[in-house]
Amino acid sequence: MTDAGGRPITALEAGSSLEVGALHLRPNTTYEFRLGVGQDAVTSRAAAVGFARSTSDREGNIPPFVLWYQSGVVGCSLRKERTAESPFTFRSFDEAERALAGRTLTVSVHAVERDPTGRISPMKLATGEPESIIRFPVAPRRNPAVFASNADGCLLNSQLTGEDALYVTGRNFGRGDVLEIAVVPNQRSWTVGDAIVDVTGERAQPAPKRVVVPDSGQFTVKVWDRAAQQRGTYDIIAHRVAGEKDLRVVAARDIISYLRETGFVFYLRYPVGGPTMDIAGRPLGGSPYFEFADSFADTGDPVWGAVDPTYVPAGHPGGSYAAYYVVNHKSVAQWAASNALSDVSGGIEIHPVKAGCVNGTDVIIWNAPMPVGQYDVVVDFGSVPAATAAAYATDAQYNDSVDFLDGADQIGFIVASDPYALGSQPIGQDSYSSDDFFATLGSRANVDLRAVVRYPATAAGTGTPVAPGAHPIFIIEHGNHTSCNTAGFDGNSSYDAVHTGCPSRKQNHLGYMGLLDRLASHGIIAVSIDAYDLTGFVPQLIAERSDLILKHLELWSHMNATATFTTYPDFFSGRFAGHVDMTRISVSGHSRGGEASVGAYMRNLARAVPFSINSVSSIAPVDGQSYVLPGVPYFVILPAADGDVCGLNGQRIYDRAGTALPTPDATTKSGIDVYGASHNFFNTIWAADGDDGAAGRDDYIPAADQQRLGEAFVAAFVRIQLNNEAVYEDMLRGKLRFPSFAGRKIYPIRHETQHSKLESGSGALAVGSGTASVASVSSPSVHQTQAIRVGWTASGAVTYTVPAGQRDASSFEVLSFRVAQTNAASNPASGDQDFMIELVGGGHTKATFASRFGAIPRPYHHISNCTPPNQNVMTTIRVPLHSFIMNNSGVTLDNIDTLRFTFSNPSQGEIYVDDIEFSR
Amino acid sequence: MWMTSNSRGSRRAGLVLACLFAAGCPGPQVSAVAPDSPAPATPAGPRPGTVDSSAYAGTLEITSVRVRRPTPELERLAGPDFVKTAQEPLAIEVQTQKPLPTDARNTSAILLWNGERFTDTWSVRPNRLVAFLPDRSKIKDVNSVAAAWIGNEEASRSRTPLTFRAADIGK
Repeated sequence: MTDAGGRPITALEAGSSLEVGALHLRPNTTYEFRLGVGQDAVTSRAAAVGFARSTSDREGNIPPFVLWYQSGVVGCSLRKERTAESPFTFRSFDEAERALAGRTLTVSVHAVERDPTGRISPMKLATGEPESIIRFPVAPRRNPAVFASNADGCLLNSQLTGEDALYVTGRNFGRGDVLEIAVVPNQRSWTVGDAIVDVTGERAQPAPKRVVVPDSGQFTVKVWDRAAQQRGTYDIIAHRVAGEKDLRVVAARDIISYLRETGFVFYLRYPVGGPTMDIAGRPLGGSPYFEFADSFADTGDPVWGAVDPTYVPAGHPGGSYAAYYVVNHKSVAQWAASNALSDVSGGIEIHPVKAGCVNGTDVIIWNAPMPVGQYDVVVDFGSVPAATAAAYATDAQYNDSVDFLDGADQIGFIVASDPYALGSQPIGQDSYSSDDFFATLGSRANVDLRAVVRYPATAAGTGTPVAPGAHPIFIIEHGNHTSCNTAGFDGNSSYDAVHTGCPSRKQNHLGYMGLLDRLASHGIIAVSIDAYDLTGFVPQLIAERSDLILKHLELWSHMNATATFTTYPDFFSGRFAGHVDMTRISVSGHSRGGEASVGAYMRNLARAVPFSINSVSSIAPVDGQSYVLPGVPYFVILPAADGDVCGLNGQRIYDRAGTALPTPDATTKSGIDVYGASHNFFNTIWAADGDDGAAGRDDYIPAADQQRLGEAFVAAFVRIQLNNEAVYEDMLRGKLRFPSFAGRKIYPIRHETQHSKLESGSGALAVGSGTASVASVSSPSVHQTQAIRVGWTASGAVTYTVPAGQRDASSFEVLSFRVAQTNAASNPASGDQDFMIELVGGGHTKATFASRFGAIPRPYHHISNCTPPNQNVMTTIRVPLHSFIMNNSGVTLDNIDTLRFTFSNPSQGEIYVDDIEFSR
Repeated sequence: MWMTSNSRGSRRAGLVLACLFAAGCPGPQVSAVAPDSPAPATPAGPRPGTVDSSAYAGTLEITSVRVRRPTPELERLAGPDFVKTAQEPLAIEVQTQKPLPTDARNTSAILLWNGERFTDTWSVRPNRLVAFLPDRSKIKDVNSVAAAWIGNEEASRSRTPLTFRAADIGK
């Protein structure tokens, strides 16, 4: 049991949320957690005060999740008649404290029957006897708490936007405490040091409210005027002010409402206004109010459902109320075979589904924790048309003549686990080493063949058998660093030339073990190779480093099939024979190794029989060879505070990739620019040797956190390419977020093979108006591409008349562009830069704002020795084209004639823009 | 003040419970840390020391250049394959104005010979840069020589390039 901050507890303070997790359960097993009040474990789900189901990981662990919100306090939304039905549901904290005083809570954990067919309704699967029972007391509330409320101090969890002012109530604070109450955008978790950015002022500007706590220790204060409210989900922070120089960051003694829980919701309601459509998604803070989505994280990422009025046929026979069902995904044939609905989300939501605006229909249809899997969403209009929730009666069937379905021919949505999480496969461990194996390798002589290996095994441990089947292979090569732990070797040219005699080699290749483990646990043979002879005070040696990767592939080919590459030994005596899928290979590297992975791909193309390398990735690569990758998926990590490759040269590899193809840029490439990340921290061995990033840099990330996010992103990319786990594409697009990188400033960079480009940096089609100016610039900042620089000093616009051959955008999914703030002083000193995007088609115009879909990065101040010191990396913002047809806008996606960026708020600024495209 | 019926832990839990009773079990205790307070910042421990980057700052100035047949020391750097295949092996040696960095990094100093980047330039401490030519084909009568940090050539290129005359080879 933990509190909302993740700390273990032995008693629940009345009014607090109860989070539970588990250790050492059976691995990969679904469990039901039941909460009862009293000494006895509740015998049925119906008798439970709260229940949830979650699946254990490969270690048998389940991370903490919320089992009981706010000790049953639901506040003013509680109808009196419900009190009798739910005796442990309360209107106020005082009521909860009185009712729970002296009571014992009991949590029981029950294994849920497995259903390999997937045909049994999950809630009908039998549960076993409790495997674990925990009892603990309820303690009186002593610690402070804050929550959203009405003027009377009655708790609110949600409120209609603009209906009434929002108040915040605090309890149990110390007399005379000086607090600053901030309403901030909801985030997954809060840790000391997080920035506090209040949004309650005009146009979401900070306007926190100061409170001096009275003698009672309680207060209720108005924090958000009706007129300034914006739709969205929020958390509330009571920040203890530390003098005038207070930094407005979260401190240890601050109190936060909705820590890891769903935040307070400001919603909108509008008057009621082909059977398959998008339904699952996430709400947005403003127009278009909803973004449909196909992928969700299994924690902290609730699935919302909504019905876009554009989808509702005229004369639709259903009522205005319907139920949202979340069901296991079924193919078209499976739906045809059975249209029975069996909700897996813990209950259906009966809700308005016909409104003038999509946000009149949206509701959370599944809260975390959610089991990893594939799901469809059905809007079931029931047995009779319902005009109210009370009139609704489900028929528990999908009827394609009236009901709506997000699924069937495409998966409705996928729930994925954090790619940092270990998979279910036991991890085998081994290594191989042969000194001076290669008499020559390019310019070098006597080069070693050495690597460490993690692989999917039948049992965890060293040398255990390989798991049945053929497994794809991933090879990573480290970059340059010290090669010898003993002083007097590196930097001595007689050693540097030959690398002999070092009594203690630096184990640079052991710096990625976490990544190898993660991949192996998901069925991938993961190999980190030692480029010892190519490391230290040596030149770049990119060709040799590239060839070393290919040499290791030759070895693995041999260990898979001994008839190939017979000059190699089989270090493992046939253990991997037939277990390596040499048709699925991904290469990667860090720094010089990061350019070598690109080089390996390029030099492989020149081989008589090339290896089947299907993807390439680089962490903070150098770029001395100016390789131009062809159409191969590429992923690059740019550490914004890189103190070694401080020019973020990987951006140039990204920019050039695909440019030489017959159809330029017809390639998929991705990247992330990680603010605060350094060069060395991605390698655990290097991290121990010091921080190359400047001391005192912005957005500092501790080494362990940086390793975690790096492993998560590389693992996600590799699993996409080698395991076809396409759900993680949305993570690389910046649309899917996981705990392993929560709270970090990570700007996605993405380009899709299928696209239709309107702007490649020439500015040829761009027409500025008002005060907006457009200029084409070559290779701005760290880039190696053309871009346009757009500046404005008051209202202005840049308009594109879409060429006739590109006006049908109906086969694309998004309007995509790269953008960054320049170093101009006209950009906002605080707050975000933004502009409006308008699409015109069929005589109709629909607009939204760039900031709804991604932040426009401000320059990262590189305070080491780098030139230029302020670096501008263009991030990719992807605006779903559906945004422009939402709510019956009338815009015709098959005939878009005009695209316009309008600049008015902020009233001035300057940005780089490139690659404006309709894109998949 | 908890117990569990989990069979693997039940005996230990019982012992814990017994100890609590023996000590006079207190009533429910609230945590000293408010349940709604934020998680502590990631325990990063002491920040690792920052590596000194000053040697990589600014432009890379050079003071002298010479071109000659490689000595045995230089041949080892060039490698056996070069020695075996080069028709007329030559080493370009440049002295830098400041000492070269003392740590091995991924960025490195490179020579720019008539503007061409020699990415496999060796850094020989304390202040020598060495690159190799297999023959004279890239040597003009008058040659421009500069140095820079790879990946940041534009900002770090020597402000005052040196001139090398073909007639000075071997001197």
